[in-house]
Amino acid sequence: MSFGTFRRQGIYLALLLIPLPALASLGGNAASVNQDLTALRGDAPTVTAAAARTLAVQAADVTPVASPYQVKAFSTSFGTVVREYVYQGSVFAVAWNGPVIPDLAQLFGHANYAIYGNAVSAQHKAHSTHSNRRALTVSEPTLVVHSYGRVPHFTGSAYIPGLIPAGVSTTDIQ
Amino acid sequence: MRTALFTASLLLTIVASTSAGAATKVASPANVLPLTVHYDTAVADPNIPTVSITLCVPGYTDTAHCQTIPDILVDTGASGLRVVSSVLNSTLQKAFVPETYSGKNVAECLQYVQSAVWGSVSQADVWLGTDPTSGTPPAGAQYGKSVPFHLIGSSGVPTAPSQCSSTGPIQDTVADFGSNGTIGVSPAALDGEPLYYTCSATACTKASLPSASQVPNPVGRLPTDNNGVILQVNALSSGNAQTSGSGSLILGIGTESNNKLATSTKIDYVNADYGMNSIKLQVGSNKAKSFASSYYDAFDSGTNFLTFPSLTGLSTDSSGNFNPKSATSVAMSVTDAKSTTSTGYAFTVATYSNATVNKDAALSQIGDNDGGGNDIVLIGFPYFYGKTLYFAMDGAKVSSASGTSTLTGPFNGL
Repeated sequence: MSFGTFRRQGIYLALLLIPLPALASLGGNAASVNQDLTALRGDAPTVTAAAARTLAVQAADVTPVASPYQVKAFSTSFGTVVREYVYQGSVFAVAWNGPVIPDLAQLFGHANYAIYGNAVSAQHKAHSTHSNRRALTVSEPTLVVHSYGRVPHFTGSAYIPGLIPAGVSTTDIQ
Repeated sequence: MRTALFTASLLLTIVASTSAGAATKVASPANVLPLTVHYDTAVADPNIPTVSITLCVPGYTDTAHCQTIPDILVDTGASGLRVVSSVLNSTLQKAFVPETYSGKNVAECLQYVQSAVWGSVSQADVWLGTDPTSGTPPAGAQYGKSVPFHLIGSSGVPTAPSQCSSTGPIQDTVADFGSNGTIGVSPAALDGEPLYYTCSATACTKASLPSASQVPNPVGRLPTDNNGVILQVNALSSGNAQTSGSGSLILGIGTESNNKLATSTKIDYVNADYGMNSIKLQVGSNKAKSFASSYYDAFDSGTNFLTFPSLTGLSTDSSGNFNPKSATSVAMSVTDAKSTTSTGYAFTVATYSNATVNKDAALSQIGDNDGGGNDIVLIGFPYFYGKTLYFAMDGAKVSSASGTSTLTGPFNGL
């Protein structure tokens, strides 16, 4: 067993022992947007608990004019802007851009993050495909993810195909 | 500095001419690193250009304190030296302790879109083009003193904070990382990382580091050949697939007799993201498409495919790889950061069987449309075969090919 392999198991074990915050969002209800906001702002090292309570606890509404769906936006503690797309009470897509890729487990929720993780692992193992560190596409029946860029400029989006409102183009999600 | 350089090259000339008669071995110039594209125990993906480097404990040049590490990916799309710690011998694993800031050990998380790497920031004397343990280094030998580098998976810092591992798996083995490490030689002086940390014995917290403690492009820390690099890659001898490929990573631009800008080279200045403002592509007489990603349109040896959005006249398979019925030429023009457009570039895209990809590491016409959703164009390593491409660092002063003017980096010479 290599040293590295040993350490990886250590990481996974540690993750299991950490109490998990509320995860939801992609596929979740509209209230989960503010759970994401709280979780992703929460690790701001310079923001005290008291200060955090006085900061905006609502994501800003940045819905485009005449849009059939709502778009809510907030910034993470690392300065990355997250946008969540809501239609009839469900988050059908998320998008981000900024210096740090946000916590995708939080944004995607456990089930979607597992789908994403499995797809990324499968791509990595298939040496007949490429190993692009700067452009990633995951295209599964229940989850599509595009992720691009490099330090310190990342951008990406994810959506659940079955929840896209009729007449909405996925190219609007970015 | 200039006089010393001149004297050094004069000496080299004398040595070369006096030993020419009896010489059986001609040393390559001190600023040239042989570059190899191959599959081996460390490299399992195609089109990964690699070099060997030598790391020494600062101040030492002997075998007990130095190690030469092969299979280091040359990446023109990033800055900074990163080495997977498991490739170091046990002595050096212990010797390369984390550097400290405010009395605490420094660590770094580097995110890629599908993964992340985590480990200490340590310091080494980084020798490029010369192994100091094999005798007195030649005049002009290039090494940087006490250069901060990223030691991936090192035991000197606690495990990664959750922010680092939540975007994808941590890649801290050679098998995961896909090479023994990487040398990022982009025009940026520093790696631009927002995720530096300082650590206690058990936990790490995010920190802002002074630039002297951040991981730099190590070429910028060399004594003379420090204003950029040249990738000179041999064309494949026949066809578009070969077991291996070869070439040179040349240090410096216009600093020696062997690294001057060629008269045929077009200068394209890079923007704040070290890419082009836009890249326009066209298949045959189909409508041309111009791609202007606000993030990254670049000539990137660290991307192993030609990666760009779908084009009329070029088909893709279900996994996004281009699969034209016959090899298809794509015309390219580039608009740089000064809004100057250079035309006349081209590359070819072809279809590859899995059998070929599994056998041949050098594939000069392989591409995919992974940039699809966001207009990203990454002109990856397939483009580099048969070309000499220049990557001048931010602030570099480079004599033009004619010698009549001085160019200021950052720019690509294409």
